Amino acid sequence: MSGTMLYQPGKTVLHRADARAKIVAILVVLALALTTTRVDVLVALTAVVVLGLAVLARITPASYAKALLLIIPLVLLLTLLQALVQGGPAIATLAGVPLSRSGVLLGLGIGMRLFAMGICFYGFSVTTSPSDIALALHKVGVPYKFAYLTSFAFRFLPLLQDEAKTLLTAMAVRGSAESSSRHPLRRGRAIVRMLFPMLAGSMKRSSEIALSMELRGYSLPGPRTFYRSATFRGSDAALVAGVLVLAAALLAMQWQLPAPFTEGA
Amino acid sequence: MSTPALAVSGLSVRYEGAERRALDEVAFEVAPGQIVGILGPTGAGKSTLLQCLSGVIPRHEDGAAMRGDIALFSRPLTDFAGLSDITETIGLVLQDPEVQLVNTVVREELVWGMENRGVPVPEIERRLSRAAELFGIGDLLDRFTHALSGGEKQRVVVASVFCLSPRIMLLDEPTSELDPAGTEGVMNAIRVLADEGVTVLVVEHKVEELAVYADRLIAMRQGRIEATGTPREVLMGTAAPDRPQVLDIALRLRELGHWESELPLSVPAAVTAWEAMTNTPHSDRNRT
Repeated sequence: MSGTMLYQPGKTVLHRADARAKIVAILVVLALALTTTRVDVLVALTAVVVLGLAVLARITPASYAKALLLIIPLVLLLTLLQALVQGGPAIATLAGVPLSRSGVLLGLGIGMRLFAMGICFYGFSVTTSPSDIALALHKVGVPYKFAYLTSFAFRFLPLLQDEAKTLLTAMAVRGSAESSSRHPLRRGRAIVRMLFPMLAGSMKRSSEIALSMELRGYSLPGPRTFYRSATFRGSDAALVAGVLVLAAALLAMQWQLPAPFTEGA
Repeated sequence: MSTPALAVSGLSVRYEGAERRALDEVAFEVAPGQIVGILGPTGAGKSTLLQCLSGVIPRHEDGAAMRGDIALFSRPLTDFAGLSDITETIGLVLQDPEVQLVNTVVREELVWGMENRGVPVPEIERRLSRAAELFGIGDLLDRFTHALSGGEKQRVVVASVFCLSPRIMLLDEPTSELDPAGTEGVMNAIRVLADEGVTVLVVEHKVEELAVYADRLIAMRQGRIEATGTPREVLMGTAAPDRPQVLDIALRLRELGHWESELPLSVPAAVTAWEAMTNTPHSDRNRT
């Protein structure tokens, strides 16, 4: 399976960066995105994230554009809902119903927030090996057994995808036109029909996987060794410092500059 | 026999709701360093037997009632604290390689079990390079586990259990997804391990391979051991569930009076015997 959100090995700055530095960077971006709904700040944040990924990890927007397209209907729905429920002057009317200007801005802000966070997570997951994530979490105090489960989740995703693909193929070869249809509604119906067998199969598999893990000493109480090591270097500190400077700049932008698109602005 | 690596007596298992026992009074011993092939049709109890020997039944299988005694190097299986504890001695390779790959990259898959056991890093590196060489997976180390072919997955799974350095290895159809070259590679690796003192029990349907590599065969049917002995003793007997095709051909030729020497269990042995009987080297016949 291709799994676009899965780790793709490489030798870029972000690939080589310590996972802890990247986790700090993500947390800073998340904090920034969640503490404002100002569209200008969120657009700036998204632009910096996109630029940062292009320069530091050679990840171009083309590689995640498909995933972003999937978010657009959600953003439009959110914007419409906010435009309908928020008060204030109307920006337009839809079938005689006024659409609130502040609601539209709020909806767009939430949409930009989703874009910024989504792109950031994408950049993190494709540049960080799952075992490095587990190791980083363990280094910051998470017990290994729990830290490992984050790494295991990345292994489980392709399994689920393969299972889904097998079930859809099985349905198609037995004459189900829905499972091979390109029509989203028909395809959706096939996916709903596939969910129960997929969940049942996953439950069975998870039991067998648990057994396999047990057979390889997952629950042994003794001290564990680590083949890979995590070293927090100067370049990682520089990455964290750079993200903090970005955060400071965006906070300054938020506090010092008047919000655009507001009444009288 | 010196202290057996495995000693089984009176072993019976019945799954919840089943009409008959999956294993019925099974008893045998295996000497250290032996390769024992387990043969039998589907439902003979081969996989259940491996699961009992590794402690999976009854510790991980609630719906199975087991009785009988199993000892690993004279230590009763019931003395081991848990499944993880048993696997210090025994390595089990399950039938489905997909559920045994629990990491995203092959290298991580191979080292993960060793890390759990606290194996020092230099030793991890030594075993890793040995496994890569023995199972021919050096070029797979940096590949994603989900992107491997079925045969590659199988080799990685067997190698990951080998890395744990168990004294006994139980392999449930380890070559079912391998081509002839891959099968030969895994069987050769098993032979090397046995020569180093590892005891190997392998459930396998490829009877031609077992005839060549196994020191002993156990033929099972409906939960019972039907025959046990050297490959020749078992495969020539009436209890053999399957026979190498080459042996059937030689038997037919003997009936027709065209085969005088010892009956072969493998194609190379048949070629050698035929050359001796006809006094014609295979290469010479190709030329004419």
